[in-house]
Amino acid sequence: VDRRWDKEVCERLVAGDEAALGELYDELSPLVYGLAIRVTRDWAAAEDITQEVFVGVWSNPRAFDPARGSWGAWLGTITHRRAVDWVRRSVARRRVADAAPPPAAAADPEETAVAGSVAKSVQAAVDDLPAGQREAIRLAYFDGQTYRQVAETLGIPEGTAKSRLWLGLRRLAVRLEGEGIEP
Amino acid sequence: MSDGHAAVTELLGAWALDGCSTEETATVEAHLAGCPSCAAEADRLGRVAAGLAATVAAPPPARLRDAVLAAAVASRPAVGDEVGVGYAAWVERLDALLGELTPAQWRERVIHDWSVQDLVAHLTATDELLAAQLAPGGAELPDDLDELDGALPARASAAAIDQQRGWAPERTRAAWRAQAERLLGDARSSAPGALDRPVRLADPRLPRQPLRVALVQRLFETWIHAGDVGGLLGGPPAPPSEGQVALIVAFGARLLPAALRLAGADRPAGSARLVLVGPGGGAWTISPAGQDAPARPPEATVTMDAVEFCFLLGNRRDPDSVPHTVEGDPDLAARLLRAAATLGCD
Repeated sequence: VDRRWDKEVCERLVAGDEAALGELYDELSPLVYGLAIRVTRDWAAAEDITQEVFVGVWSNPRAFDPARGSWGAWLGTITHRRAVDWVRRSVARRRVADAAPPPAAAADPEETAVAGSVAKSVQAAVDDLPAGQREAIRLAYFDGQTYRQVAETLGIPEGTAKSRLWLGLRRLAVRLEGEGIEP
Repeated sequence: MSDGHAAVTELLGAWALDGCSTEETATVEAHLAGCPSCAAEADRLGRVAAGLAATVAAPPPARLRDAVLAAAVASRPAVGDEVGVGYAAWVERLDALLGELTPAQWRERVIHDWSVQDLVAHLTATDELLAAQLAPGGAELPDDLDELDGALPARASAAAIDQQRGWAPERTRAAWRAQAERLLGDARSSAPGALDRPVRLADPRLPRQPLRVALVQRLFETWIHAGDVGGLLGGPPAPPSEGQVALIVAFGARLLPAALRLAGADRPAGSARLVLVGPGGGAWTISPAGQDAPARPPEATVTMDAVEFCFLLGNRRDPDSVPHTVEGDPDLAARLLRAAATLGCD
């Protein structure tokens, strides 16, 4: 896997090169924003998260370690964590406020075209998962559910939810690695 | 393999998808730090999980680009200045913990006779003592020690706690967070000399300090209270990073002579050596306020763990029983440790 671009951008960010941040933004803001809006279903939250992620990268570029994966994988990881935190916080807020009905979901961004060859391979691998694993991963990753919530949603024991998430990710890893793709 | 290992292994899939509770996440991450095989598997699953993001990529509105780049450039702290970054990290951590709490947990007693809500009101009140000085036209305090009121932080806290007991917890959280963000804005200021401006600490009787030192006190107090709230949620204690420990212990060593004087514990005068071991530690000579480097060898040498010293500063350790060793005058050592425990804000 060629990580030259990832390393070079990292070094330029550490040196304080603003153009490197622009380049990283142009390359990966669709990934960050698309994921944030899919998980939060709230455009304002998605914009805030996108800003926080890139501001975070600029203030602390050393948090990214090119030896452990690509910028895409790293930004995907921190974006997801922030988006999930937002979902759980907003659920807590609603609980505190004694529960107005949840805001209407935005148009399903899964409709958005799956662009790029990596995305197509990942999507194909997801489509080929056993239905139980695919559904569990969808709820956890794209809806920000904990494995306990996944178990509740699917009406399965918590242990089963845990193992479906694990087996599903393993299966995706084996397949994508076999295709020479490292997300 | 221990049960811990097996329990963590079966959580790795959920963990990689951010689908564990806060406590489980902390357990998994603590295990990963010491288990290379699980860490490798976790990295692999984490990368695959992140790869799922590619399937929902969607371009943000074009106007966002300039806004993000401008915010980034405005936010970057000066190179080597860890205070802003560290304080921001603990504000983020405490806010995340507060977001986990149920309404009942907000009312639970967490430290002293304070509920979580009282604790956050207290933190907001002590943060405000600094924020008020930074606001345009901020109040100037007199220079004469006798006119300065050491009970100010306690009074400000009590008033805020009293007032906010009638508030919804989210309001208390939002008020604290908004003010912390304003302080962070000052912490990240790139104006030359901005962090060198002299300000009062929470206890106004302590000598004025550069803003960067006052911000270490905010970082440190926010860390202590994040630990209080984290303990309530059952997570493991999160120590500050090595760089933050270094900032906090340097803060303590710098203020100790004044703390000894305020406690009336600097008579008879004697200097002590403070040796803090572990990451972020170091060695300091603590001389009575107003004296230059001592002509004689120190009367006492106190050796202890640097992180334990941070907890002591936060009044989360008992000065008499916190693990330490003393060579020389045990009475001077005891006075030193008791004075250290007064440098927190509660």
